[in-house]
Amino acid sequence: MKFDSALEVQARVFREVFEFVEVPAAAGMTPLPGLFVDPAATVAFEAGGDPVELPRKQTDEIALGVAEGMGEEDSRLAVLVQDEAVQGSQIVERIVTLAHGEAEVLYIGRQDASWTQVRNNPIRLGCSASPVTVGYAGTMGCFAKDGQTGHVGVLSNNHVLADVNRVALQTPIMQPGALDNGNPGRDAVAVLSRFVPIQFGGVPNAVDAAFATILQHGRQEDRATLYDSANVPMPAITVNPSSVATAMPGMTVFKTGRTTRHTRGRVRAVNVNNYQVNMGIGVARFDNQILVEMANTPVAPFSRPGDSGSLIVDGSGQPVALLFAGSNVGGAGNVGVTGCNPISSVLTQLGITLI
Amino acid sequence: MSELKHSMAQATEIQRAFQEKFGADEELLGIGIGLNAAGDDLAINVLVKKPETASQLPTEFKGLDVVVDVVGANTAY
Repeated sequence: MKFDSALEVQARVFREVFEFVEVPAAAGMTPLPGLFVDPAATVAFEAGGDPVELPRKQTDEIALGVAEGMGEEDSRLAVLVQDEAVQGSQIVERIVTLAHGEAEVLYIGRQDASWTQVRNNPIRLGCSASPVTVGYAGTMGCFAKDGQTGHVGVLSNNHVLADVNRVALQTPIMQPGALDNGNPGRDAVAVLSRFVPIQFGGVPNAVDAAFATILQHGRQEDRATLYDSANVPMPAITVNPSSVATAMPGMTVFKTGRTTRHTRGRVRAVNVNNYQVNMGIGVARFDNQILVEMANTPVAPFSRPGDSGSLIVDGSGQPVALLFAGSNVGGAGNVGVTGCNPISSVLTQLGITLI
Repeated sequence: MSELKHSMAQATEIQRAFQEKFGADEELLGIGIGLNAAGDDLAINVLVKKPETASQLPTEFKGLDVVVDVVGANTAY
């Protein structure tokens, strides 16, 4: 069948088999095949309450797409099944019938979210976090102690924990963050205590940093380990918070973050001034920054959006920097350069010590 | 770092002069100190929006190589 026909079949399957309803597409989405959602989920969303976990159905194990057909410019419906037991089910048979046999059924296995993007217990360095009042997720960098109160808390960026100066102090911080389905009631682990305001209009900023005091959260904490990228994470580096390392060009560094997990990098530049960063609500200037390029094999970026707040350490685990920005291109592999605050500046400006 | 031809203090002075000369250019997104291509000396590392800007910058400035990265834009991650 033609590509558009495959999209029409997909829409029909969503309507007739999944019993989804079509809703207006969000800005930027293509008009076909439209946006189909479970009406039960729509009701829960419109009620404005906490996310509701709906009972699982067989259709939850099936994703639909369009695959190449047998001939040139030929397409067929792709039926991607996560549960082996559903592969030969009547529902899949019905989908194939609706596609008049022009469907490819593929068993893809369970698609698990990265360990960094789910609820962690113990709470690990590098996992997802956000205030309860936003829709994004960033990274919980590491644990620290408040120099004023002695309270233990977590370190991340202003733009992660305070949404660029806009989140009120004492707002709960949850792990995982909102984009990773954090639940404001169940997942709150800290409250925003302090942030260094980000200034605009060409005024040089030193850091993009914030500190949130830990609450009674009922989970374990692993305050010392940077874990690797495996689905069942294993320790990669033990953080040595007793002293910090000064970045030098060429230095090898590591981080674990919410999006790209554990990556290796190399310091591209230090003492970077007039570093211009789009903060989402305007461009801010940062001085005395550190740039890191990737040093992964095979080529993979050192960071991507959502990694902000990651603690960057050297090979011996000594803290070097706090990740906060980046580009998609440039640097080694042309996969971008990452902007970081020297960790010594972060600790001084926030009045905290690493633990 | 001991085998490098310039010290960090010397490079910082040269970086300051580079910033005075080129820092007002809005096409520049950052000026730092990195390594040259051979890895045997420090260099001025400049981030720019577009390739055309790179061609307008010197390849060497007061004894340090100028290494340019075309990054498009820096955004908060």
